[in-house]
Amino acid sequence: MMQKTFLKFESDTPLKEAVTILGRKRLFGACVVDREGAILGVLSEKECLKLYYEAFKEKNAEYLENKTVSDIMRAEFKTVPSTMNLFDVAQIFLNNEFRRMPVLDSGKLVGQITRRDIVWAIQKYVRGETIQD
Amino acid sequence: MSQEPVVADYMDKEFVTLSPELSINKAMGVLMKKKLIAALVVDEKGLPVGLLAENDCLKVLLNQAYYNQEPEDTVKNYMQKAPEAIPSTTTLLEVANIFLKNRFRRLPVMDSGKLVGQITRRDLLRAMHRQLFFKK
Repeated sequence: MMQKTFLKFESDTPLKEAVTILGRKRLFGACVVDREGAILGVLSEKECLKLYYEAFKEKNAEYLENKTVSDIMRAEFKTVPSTMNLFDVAQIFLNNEFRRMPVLDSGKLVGQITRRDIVWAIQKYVRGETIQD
Repeated sequence: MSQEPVVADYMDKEFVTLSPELSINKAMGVLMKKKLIAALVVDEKGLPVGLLAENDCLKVLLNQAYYNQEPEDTVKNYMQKAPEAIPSTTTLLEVANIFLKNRFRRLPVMDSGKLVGQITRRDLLRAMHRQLFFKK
């Protein structure tokens, strides 16, 4: 039920570009990785908004010019292993505000799971349908 | 003289709402089908009375899964308190401030007691992006 293909930003991606891409893909956030694909953080709309707010207040787009995703990503984030049970993952989302969690197996980023994925999976479960990966 | 951009220019005037009397199963179906994270719950007078979001759906579904119970009740039993409405003359900066201080991702926009639109955090970010980078 996790996403194996998902949007990732390299840590030096300019914030301006990231926001444009998120807008175009209609996404609310993404994982941030280093050049080798290792997870560094999670980027979400709220963090982008914080910086945009400052720029807007100063009426100054320059404020954002040198900012990259690594400047605003959350470097502390919850992850889950791909073997975690559906309901345990659901509990984590229920108890937190974040929408996505990187999925790590032995420290390697293998996927991402969002609250929406879990809602979808549980809905299939209660309908007696099989949940395909 | 340039005018301060306001919510009226960027809000959604047509958007999905749910009735508080709608069965929760049907409501969840609407959210899933339309790929929405949440929707405002609006009564027959057209006034926002609540918000139904993914976490609310998750609670319902988990109950169904654990206890094998089809929930029979309606949206009003599961919805959260509606976020406070703002007038369409609110500036983007003021809305940003509201979003930063709260966990809501959408706000009802009301003028003279009438629901005229909704603005989401995503719309706001896009609006600010456009204002900063594309307006001279």
